[in-house]
Amino acid sequence: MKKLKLTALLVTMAMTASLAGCGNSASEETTDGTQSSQATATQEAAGTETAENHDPVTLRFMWWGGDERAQATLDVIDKFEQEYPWITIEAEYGSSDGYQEKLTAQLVSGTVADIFQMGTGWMPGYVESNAGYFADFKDFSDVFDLSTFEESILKNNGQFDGHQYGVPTGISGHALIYNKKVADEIGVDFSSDYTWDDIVEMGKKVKEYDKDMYLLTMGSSELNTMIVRPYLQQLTGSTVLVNETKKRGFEEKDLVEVLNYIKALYDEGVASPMSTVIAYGADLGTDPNWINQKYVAAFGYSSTVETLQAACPDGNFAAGKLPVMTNAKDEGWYCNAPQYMCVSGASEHQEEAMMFLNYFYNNADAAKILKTVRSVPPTSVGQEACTELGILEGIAKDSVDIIQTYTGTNDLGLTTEEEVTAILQDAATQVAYGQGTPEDVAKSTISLLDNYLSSK
Amino acid sequence: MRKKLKKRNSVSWVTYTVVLLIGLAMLYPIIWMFFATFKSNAEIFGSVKLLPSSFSFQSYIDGWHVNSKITYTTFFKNSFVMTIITTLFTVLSSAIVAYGFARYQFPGKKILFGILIATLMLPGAVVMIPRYAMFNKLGLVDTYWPFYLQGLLSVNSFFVFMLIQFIRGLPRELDESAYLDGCSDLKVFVKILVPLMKPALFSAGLFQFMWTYNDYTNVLIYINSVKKYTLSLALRLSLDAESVVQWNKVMAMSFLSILPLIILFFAAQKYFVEGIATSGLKG
Amino acid sequence: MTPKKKKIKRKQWIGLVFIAPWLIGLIGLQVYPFVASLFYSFTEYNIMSSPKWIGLANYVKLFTADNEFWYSVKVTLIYTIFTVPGKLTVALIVALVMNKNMKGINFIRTIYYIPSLIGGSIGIAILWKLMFQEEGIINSLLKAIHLPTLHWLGDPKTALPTIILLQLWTFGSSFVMFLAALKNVPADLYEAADIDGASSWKKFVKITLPQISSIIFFNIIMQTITALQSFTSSLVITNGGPLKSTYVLGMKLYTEAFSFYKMGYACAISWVIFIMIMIVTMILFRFSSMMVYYEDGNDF
Repeated sequence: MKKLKLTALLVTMAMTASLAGCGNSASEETTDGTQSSQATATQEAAGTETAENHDPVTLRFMWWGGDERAQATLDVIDKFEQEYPWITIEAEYGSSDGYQEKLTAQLVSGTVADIFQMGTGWMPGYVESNAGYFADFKDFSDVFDLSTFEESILKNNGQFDGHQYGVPTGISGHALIYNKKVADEIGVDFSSDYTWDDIVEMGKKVKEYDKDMYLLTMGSSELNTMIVRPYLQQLTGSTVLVNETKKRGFEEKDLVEVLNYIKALYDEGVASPMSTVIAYGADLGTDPNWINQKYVAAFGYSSTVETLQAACPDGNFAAGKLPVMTNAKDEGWYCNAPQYMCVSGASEHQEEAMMFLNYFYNNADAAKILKTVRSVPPTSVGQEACTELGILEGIAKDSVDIIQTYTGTNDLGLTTEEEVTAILQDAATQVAYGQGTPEDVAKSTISLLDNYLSSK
Repeated sequence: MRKKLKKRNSVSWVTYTVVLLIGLAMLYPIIWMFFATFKSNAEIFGSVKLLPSSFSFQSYIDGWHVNSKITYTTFFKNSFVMTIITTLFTVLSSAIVAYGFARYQFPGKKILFGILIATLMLPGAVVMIPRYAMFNKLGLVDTYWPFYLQGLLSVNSFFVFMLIQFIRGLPRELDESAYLDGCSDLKVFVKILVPLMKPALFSAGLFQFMWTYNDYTNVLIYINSVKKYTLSLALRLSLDAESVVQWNKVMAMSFLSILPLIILFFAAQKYFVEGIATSGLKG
Repeated sequence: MTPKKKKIKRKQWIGLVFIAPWLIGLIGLQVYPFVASLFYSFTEYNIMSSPKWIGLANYVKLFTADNEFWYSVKVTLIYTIFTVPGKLTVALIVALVMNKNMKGINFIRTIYYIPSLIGGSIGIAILWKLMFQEEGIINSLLKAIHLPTLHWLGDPKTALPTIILLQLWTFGSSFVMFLAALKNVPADLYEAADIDGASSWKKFVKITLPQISSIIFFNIIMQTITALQSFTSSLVITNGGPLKSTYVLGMKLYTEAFSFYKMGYACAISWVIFIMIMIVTMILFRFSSMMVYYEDGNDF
């Protein structure tokens, strides 16, 4: 028994080290067994309370996601309702298609669900317009335990002016997935550090090996998120747009350099041609060339690598490191969250909503049901549960481990606003299509960005 | 006479062959979809072959049972309830309004007709949120009433305009002679015009049925509870860039959801293709 | 055409009773959103905070500083000019053929309507992408008859034509209306023409076209309005790309409103679209008074 406990402790410690969260900062949290068992004990005590002591409360909970996520979340709701019989949770789940429009209409009209899943990119805009849409998790510290989250994770995800308006659903970040068997055969390697220029060299090797193959595939969205933004950040040491000063963090020549790099990727046949890839939009896994192993690697997100892997059942995939230039002023890569969970500021039952989310995040049984349906869990409770089940392995976890080794600055804010995203993405796509020289495109892009900034 | 009519209406075998060949191309998408319900993701996206490597109806069973809480039985039921009621309301209301516009010269008619057409011209995206706010004030969010009410009050004037055009194609002498015989205004409409408008009413009904049945954006905005979801919402439940989508399930349910529309069209066409010519009435 | 009979006195105000449902809907459900959107078009409004009056600034920006707007106008016009006549011609031809007696006509009509039934289905959006991809069925067919292959949806030059082509496929709603209208053409007109020995082309021009002209006119108006506002087809298949080559006005409007939260600006775009459609429609109505034949003797 004692031995078992010791092993558990060791496993937990190892876990804490490997999942220390963003920025490599070591955890100060005590995540030993006692704390979580205490938490469970109090929850059990709460569970023994009878429904008669409480007025019945009905909460609405809205999220988007696929079938697996829906089933797991529904199961957790069932379990919660058993333990808190006076609380009923009405699940409102759907697809991500149109979710943002619906959420906007609901927030404006005050009809939003008590608990709702939130896209990380949309949140700053909502908070800026009306922070009253959200309840502050810090105001409910007696029912919602924030101590199981890494401080730095909370700070970078859902915190605005010290208010915790959202909590991350998981840990994730940009990722590179590559076909290990093919890569080994050709002699390219993503498992050790490499630079942007190395990518071009590797790309040439792939072309020599088979002229119909490409080293890398990415959609127009990745052109921005995985080349323009990190490249500029590594080059200048600043985020593309600076939230505090509302100014550009780069000069025209910097942008010309990035665009020239993108041009080279396409001119040298390193990246798969835009005209082939663009039709597959957000889902690179539906490209027959990916399925038929014509690409060695793909840029993506830790939450999508499993989809890419599953799309090509014949492949043998691994998560790779991400490119960093020599003498980079900022690593440019950082980890963040796939979504947040929020409680509506207009809800009449914020406390009960917080109680549910506490169960959702900090109950070991709930964590075992939820597993990684919203990426690697952000809480120590969730991580322990997943480790215990032996499911914290595989390509998604590997890519989260990799992204956590980078210490780049999180550029959430102006740089990630939809309008800026559209401008940068258009610029990169134009160059990828060979329409307009990098110099011309850089000029027009800068004028669009400055125009945008002047309206802020 | 009869023989001549028949001759005029038949086609040569060349035309017939061409019609059938093009028809085959028309059928291709749905045939592809049917076979896709048996394919793996890699087969759907990675290969151009039409036929699946194996046949198993498991995708239909799995797709039908969305999760432990709900199945497609609910979604089909919801879609039918919402669509049928909305369609009936729309056709009824639009026909009456169209009659008023087409056959009467009330004051301000020209302006009102102008407004009727103008309401079609503003893109829906910008009225979406004010309209949502309004239905919310009326307490109708998360019910089908926004759809019923819009049908009942002919908010989509497409159908009114369409029926006006059809009524104007009918000789005025018909209803005016009935009016002279002492029929009331309503009776003229019900007894004389409605039977003649049958093809138009059925095509209007068909369109409204199809559009309501397939509507995603509006249903998404107004309906919150999963147990009230219609098929169009349900079909997108599984779609998520961050999880592995089993496309055969999605295709299977898509295919099943299209079948009622095809059956409806097939069954209803005998009504909208029977016009004056076959109903024996002469103008 | 029809001899003017003496007017029969009908209580004309009763018409107002018949249109009452629509009038109630207009006042109760339509006026507010319309007026609201017109008001917002003169404001800076991000949906979430209260609108700020800025006068004509949105319109000034639209006409002077937004190149993308004019670009989208161009894309939208090209889209409209090709889809509307294309779709209507196909629909009319199919309706004329389907109006005849042939074996299994009920089945054949249904088959020709199927593309319109499934046009909006998610599964079908995937099929289009598959068909038009590099190794897809379309390119395979082209290769088989020794024609050069294209990138279709992947090439900024061919993406819009491809989208237009896909639109022609969904001619169903006009087809059904034409069919219903054709059935309403009194058979004795043709019989009379047969006795006069008129050619089929002459019968088509002299009898069929005038008899169904009110429905043709309706379809021209509605298809034009739909095309000028359209965005779903480009959104689903190409998301406005590549390089904005399919970025129609409806899409720009939607993006400004719901991605960039510039609802005020989006409302201004909507009202410009509104005016555009209004002008086109008025021209069409003007035309119609010359071209369209109504059984009611053009009393309206």
